Amino acid sequence: MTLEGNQGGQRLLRPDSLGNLSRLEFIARGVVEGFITGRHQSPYKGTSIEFAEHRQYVSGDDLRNLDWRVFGKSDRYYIKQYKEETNLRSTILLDASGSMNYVGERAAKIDGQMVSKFEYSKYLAAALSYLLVNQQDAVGLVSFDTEIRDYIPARSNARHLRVLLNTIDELQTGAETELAGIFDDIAERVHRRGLVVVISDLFGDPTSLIKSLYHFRYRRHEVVLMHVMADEELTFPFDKWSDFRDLENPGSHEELDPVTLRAEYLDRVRGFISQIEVACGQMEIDYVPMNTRVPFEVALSGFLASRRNGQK
Amino acid sequence: MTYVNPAILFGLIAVSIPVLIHLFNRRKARVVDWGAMQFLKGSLVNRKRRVLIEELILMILRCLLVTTVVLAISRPFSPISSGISWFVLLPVILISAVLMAVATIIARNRAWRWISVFTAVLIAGGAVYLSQNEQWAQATRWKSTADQDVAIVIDGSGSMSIEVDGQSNFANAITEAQKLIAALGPDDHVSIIVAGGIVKPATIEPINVRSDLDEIFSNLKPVGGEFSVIEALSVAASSLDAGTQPAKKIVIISDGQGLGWERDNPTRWEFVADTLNYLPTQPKVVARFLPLPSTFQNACISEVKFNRTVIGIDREVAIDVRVENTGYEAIEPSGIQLLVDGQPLGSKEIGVIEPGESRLISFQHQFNVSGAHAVDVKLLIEDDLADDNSQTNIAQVLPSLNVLLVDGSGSTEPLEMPSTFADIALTRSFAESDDDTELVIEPLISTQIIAATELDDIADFSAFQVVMLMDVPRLGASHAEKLTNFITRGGGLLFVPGLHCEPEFYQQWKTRDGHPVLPGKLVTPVLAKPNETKQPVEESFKHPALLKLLKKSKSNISKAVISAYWEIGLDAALEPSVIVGATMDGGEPLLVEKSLGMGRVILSAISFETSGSDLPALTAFPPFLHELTYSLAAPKLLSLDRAPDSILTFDFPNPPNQPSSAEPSSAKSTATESTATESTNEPEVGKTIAVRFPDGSTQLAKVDLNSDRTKISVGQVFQTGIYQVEVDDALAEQFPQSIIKSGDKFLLPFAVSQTSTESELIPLTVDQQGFAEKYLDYQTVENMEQLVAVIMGNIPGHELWKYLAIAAVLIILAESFVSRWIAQQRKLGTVQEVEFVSEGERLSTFQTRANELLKTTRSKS
Repeated sequence: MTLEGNQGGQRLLRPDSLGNLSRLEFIARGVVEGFITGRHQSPYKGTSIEFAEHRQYVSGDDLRNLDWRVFGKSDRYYIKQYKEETNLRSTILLDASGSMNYVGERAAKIDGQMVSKFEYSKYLAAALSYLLVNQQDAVGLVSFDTEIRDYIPARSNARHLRVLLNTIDELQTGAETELAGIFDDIAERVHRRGLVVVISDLFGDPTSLIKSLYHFRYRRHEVVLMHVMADEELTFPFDKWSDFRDLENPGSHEELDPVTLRAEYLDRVRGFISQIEVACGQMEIDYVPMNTRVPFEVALSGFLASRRNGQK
Repeated sequence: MTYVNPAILFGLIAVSIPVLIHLFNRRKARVVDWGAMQFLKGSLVNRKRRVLIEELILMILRCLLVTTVVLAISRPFSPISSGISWFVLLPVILISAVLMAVATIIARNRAWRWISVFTAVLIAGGAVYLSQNEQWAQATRWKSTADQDVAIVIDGSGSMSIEVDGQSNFANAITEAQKLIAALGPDDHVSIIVAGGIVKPATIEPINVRSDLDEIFSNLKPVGGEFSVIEALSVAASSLDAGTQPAKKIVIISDGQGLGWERDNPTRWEFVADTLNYLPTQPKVVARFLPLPSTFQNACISEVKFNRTVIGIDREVAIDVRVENTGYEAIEPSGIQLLVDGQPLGSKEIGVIEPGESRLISFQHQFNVSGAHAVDVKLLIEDDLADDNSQTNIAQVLPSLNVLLVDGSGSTEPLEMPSTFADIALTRSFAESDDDTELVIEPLISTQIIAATELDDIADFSAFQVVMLMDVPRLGASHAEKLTNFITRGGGLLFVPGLHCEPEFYQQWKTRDGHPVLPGKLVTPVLAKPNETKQPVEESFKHPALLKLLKKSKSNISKAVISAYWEIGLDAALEPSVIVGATMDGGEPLLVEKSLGMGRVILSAISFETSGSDLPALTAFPPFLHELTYSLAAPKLLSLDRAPDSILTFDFPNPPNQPSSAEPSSAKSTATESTATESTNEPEVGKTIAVRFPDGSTQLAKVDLNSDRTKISVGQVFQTGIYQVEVDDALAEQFPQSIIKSGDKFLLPFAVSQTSTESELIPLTVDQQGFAEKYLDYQTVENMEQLVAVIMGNIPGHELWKYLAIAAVLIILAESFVSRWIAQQRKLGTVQEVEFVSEGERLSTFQTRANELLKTTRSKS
């Protein structure tokens, strides 16, 4: 399933899901340097002089930032926003490796078509970007396969959102993933502490993955690990001879009777997941399993709800 | 191996079903674009080999299952003489099925797979082709279209009368023979032959009247003795030759007793094969062996022996009986009994005899009346084989033993005459010491002493059993010839040389056909110096008479000191009948014996005077001379202990006073003129005499009267017991020790006993049938069905489908077991799902479940 570029990022933000999501708020957990305006008290004040744009007043906004001149003219509340106004810098790391291309037959449908893990991730990334930008948070995006493909530093204005959404929309999957190296690289690039959201199937060596996640934590980033997997990958329901073609290595394939391997396969998957889950628990990384079978908005709201609950 | 339903073999194509299913499944393999390859590959590395093996085992089992089922339905058949064994063919087909399975699972690429499959098909096809070839060959081999003559040889040997499961094998054999005849066609002819120690044809030629055959069967009895296979086959051949049907077959129904198969006699087998080849078509010989009994309890009398051949009324004779346990278990006969002329003379205990062991029991008996006596030995036991529990022998008791002593010393002083010592030794009673008892022997022997010059007074020597020539210088020509005749008719001559002997004469003394009469040449008299005297060497004693002496512990024969003797020259190449009975120190012969015609000659190296040696003065001398005399008299006895024979004959010389004698005296010749004219020139034919058989019946025996011999042919004799031949006065006079006088008739008895070899069960081996297989169209069958099949021209053998059916069931079980086991190994059905939900979801599902639970409990309450 491809996304049409001319429709722009808007396509990713489907009205129904946006409507759904806008009721929810993204609440960062733990001690974060930047907060969503109105809801949290930021330890720093926005001291930027450079005007960036106006934003509609939302209850809870600091009245000091109200543009009284606009209010006088139009009788509407607008908040003046300045560049570098917010301090929550979020970076979404989106895995664009070949393995993300897996669709399966049990994935949730969007527009009547089943989504691959990659598309599912793209929707997630877009929704998150929108949410964060909507909260005046700075959002950056890194897409990668064997190396970093796109790197959009974190900004928080509306134009930036468009850029983000366009970039996300145009993303294509590439080759194999080597998460560990990439994460190390990104950890070096993102200097200011912030929120790092990883959306990936995490395929690769779990040990080195965990090591590089620790790198983020070392930089005192808050990390949310959205582990996207297809239901087939978790249940291995195949019962007929199949030719498994490697999505990351075109040309490599295994013809086999899946029944013979199921138990062993599931053991391996289980081991893999629990290894990551346990490591995340230890590093206080928010591990979010995402089964593409569950519609992404459901999964996302579940996630957000749990975040909010955690905050309370 | 052949098939009953060969067309079913096309079903072998069905082996491709599991193969095709497998290949189809693989062909149909769905393409899955897969991301989580790392887990798949990891699992694959771990399990690939194992999975391959599991699949291979399953595939092999499935292919084998199909193959065995198809083969079972095609009903493989193993003919008894298979050109190519099922043991080879079935495995080959099964192996090709396995190959097929292996090719399917393991072959790396398509080319290899097809090559393997092709090979498998080729092998299986080859096996099927060979079976079909065999089918054709077997059908040709056993085909029988023409009417046939079948000779059924029923083993009537002793072992056939042993009961197996309540019935004797002989009765079983008759039952099988009857079944076989019932299966034959109406125009097939049958001849029946019973064979044991002798062969008895029950039909002269093959007949097809079933009622007659039934009649014959109801009268059949085993004949006992060993199964003489070759003779039986010869009789069967001549019986088949008398038949008129074009096809010929011989059936042997026997037990597995190995005796009588003459493993070491290839020429006889060749001979019988030649005989069979004379028939219009070479007959197929089919042997059916009934099972030998698994338990066998048998004791037999294996030997009855008198300790001396010449039995007189003078002394006791020892009767040695050997009892042998030929069975498989220890036995204890309640005793052994001795009967003489039907009168029990006591019995003895035997005790327990272990299998394979034998025991010697000795009876002592002194006969009071001369003539023939029946000596019965009976073993008191009830065992599996009754025939061998008794044995009858004829003891021939001499009324007297007449010895003519011819003294040639020319002396008148009794102590200088060698005959004096001999006479004393032979006629005076003497004490013979046995091991523990001293017996006074009343001499049986009566002697007549004449000087060499008085030989003319003796018309013939037939009144004597033994003649002793002592220091006779030479003989007149007529005496020499008379004496030669006397010996060749069974007389005994003891030649004792002396100083007067003329060696040149005796070297020239020969029979009519040029054989020297004396066993050695008198070379020269030797006078030993006082310190070079010689003594007999005990170790060199070979003559039975001397050996008997040695058994007496107190004999001093070897103490004799010899100072003068004759050197005896022996031909370098000894005649086979010449034996050196004893030698002196230095190896010089002391006693030399030879057989001449029916008689014997003993040559002594020393004279029986005291001047040459002190032998005549020794206590050993009388027994020594007695034993020599008995030994020389023995050949005159008739052989009356016989084994069953198809033609039993007696052959003995005519008495010299018969018209046929060499020099009939003119007076007697005229007296018996009528017979003389008939019999001198040509044999008298057609004369018969009556023979009473043990069962009381009387049959006629043929008498052939030749110029100097009489031959009585009793014919076929297989009943055991005493037979009595009515003989004329002349014969009775000639052999008084062999005759029983009954009223005014003279009866010559003879005893027939079975040989004891049949008492032992020696299973027949394949090796023993080697000659039958080599020279004949010979075939063994395992059961009645196969026997009927062979005779009726069907292929004999047995079906194999049962084994295959069992194999198929086992394979099904194995298959289900293996698949279940594999499923268990793969944890199919019990696989634990991977948990992959967020905490929130876990929580919410928990809440909904809790709510539901709450609702249900509320509604209930």
